[in-house]
Amino acid sequence: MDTVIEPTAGQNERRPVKVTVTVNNQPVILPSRELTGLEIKQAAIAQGVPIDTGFQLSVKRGNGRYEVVDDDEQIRVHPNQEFLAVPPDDNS
Amino acid sequence: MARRPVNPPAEGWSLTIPHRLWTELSAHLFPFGGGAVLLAGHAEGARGPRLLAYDLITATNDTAYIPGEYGHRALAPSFVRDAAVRARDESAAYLAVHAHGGLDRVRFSSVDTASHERGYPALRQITGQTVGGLVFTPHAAAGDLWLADGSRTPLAETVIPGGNLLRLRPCPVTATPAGPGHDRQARLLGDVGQATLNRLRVAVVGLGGVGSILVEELARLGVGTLVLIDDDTVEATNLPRLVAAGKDDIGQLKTDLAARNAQRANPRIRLIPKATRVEHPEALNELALCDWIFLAADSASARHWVNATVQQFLIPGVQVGVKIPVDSAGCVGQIHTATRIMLPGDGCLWCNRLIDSTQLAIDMHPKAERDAARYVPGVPVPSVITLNTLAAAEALNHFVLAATGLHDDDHDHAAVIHRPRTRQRDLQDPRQDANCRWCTPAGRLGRGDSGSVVQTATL
Repeated sequence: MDTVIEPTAGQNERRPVKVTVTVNNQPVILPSRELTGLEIKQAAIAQGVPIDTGFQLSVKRGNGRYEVVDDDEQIRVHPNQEFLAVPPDDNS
Repeated sequence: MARRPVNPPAEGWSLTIPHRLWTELSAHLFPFGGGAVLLAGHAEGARGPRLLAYDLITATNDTAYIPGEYGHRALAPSFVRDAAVRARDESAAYLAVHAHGGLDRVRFSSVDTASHERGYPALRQITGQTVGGLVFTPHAAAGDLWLADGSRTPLAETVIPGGNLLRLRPCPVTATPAGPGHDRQARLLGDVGQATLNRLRVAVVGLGGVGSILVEELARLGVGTLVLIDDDTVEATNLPRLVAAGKDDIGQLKTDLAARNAQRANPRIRLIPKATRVEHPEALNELALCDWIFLAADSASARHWVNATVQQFLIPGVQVGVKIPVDSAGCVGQIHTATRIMLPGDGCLWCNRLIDSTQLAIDMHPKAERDAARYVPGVPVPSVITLNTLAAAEALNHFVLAATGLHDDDHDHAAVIHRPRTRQRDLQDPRQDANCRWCTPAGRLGRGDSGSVVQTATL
């Protein structure tokens, strides 16, 4: 579910945009279409997804595969886009 | 495209080319032909000396790759000069590359050989390094190496670690039939595939829950040599997760248990146990001689040193791990298993933020200092043999299919992330920093013995 408010004709400023994505199958509302990996993790944490900013974030691409997104890497998100966040310190 | 021949590892000089470099070189060489120079580091290998390609200098047709005076085409003298100067300045081997027609077989023409004899003595003097010529088809490679010591030798094989672990030779190998013990397996892998496993030298770093499964199955698969690295001993709490462990093993080295299991599974196996941490020079030296590394240890230091070895010595591998988050109230979070392909020249563990620099700094101190530096005493993490098996199986299947050329896609080396609670299995493509000091030519990629990992790796 997403709410996209497009500017009307003649408007000089874009109104805020909210895009709903999922992080680890949980819905997360993002405040912009372009965010960094860190900002996406921070939004997910603020909305109760049990991850922390040290987790490794990946975004699901059109080919069905995930691609790692770095903290300072800016990506364009779209509604219902799927993200995966896993702790980097798995055990053996 | 016809299926590529599978060639077992060869004795003698080899060249390893990271798959990204090979992709770039292939696009330049095939189908219309082109010229290039590879720069390569050097390292000792289990079956002979290794050349480790780390950078490619392509010759532009009609300016740097021009009609030849003696043969069809030749590298322009100014291009050769500049590449030779780089080889000299970087203490790298200079390897001139071109392509021939054909598919599974290749050899130098008399014109090629004459040009080597005319030019390489001088190039060897200029560079002070090994120089040589390589000729490729899409499925075959031959090389004529003029060594720094004044001798001359053929290149036995060219190795390209990607989604498949390709081994190119001048002509395909015919293997002897696999023994009856591996008959059923060889019906999938082929006799040459089974012979490949028999000649491989594989390391398992970390012999705990995941590592013990890896060792058992690698031995039963018929892998020729196993390097076993772990400085830990067996505890009572390990017994449910260590293959074939019993109460009598408590207090014994994990390397001893792993060696016993491997020997029982395959009496002909060669074992090199190292009961040390992986950063110990003895362990690193053994790792650098391997064809493949399984990383089944979870410390930051193990990740760092194995990652460094993969990139500096161009040895492919897999990192395997399991995460079971359980909070203090007993709530179970998202369980995941990770099987991450570690390819030379590809986004490494540092690029993918899988090594914690703070933990690494702590790990590199003596044990007493490490314990003191951790504010919170270590709490045992959850560990379940079935989840370890899931991660190990992904890693082992990737290894077997890659080593025997059975993956559909040479370029596919995505990590596999399982989330068992939601029954999801996903592929994850790694990222790479443009100038990573480990996995790019700007860093240690392919530099081999020009500075051993032990001496040059800095935190």
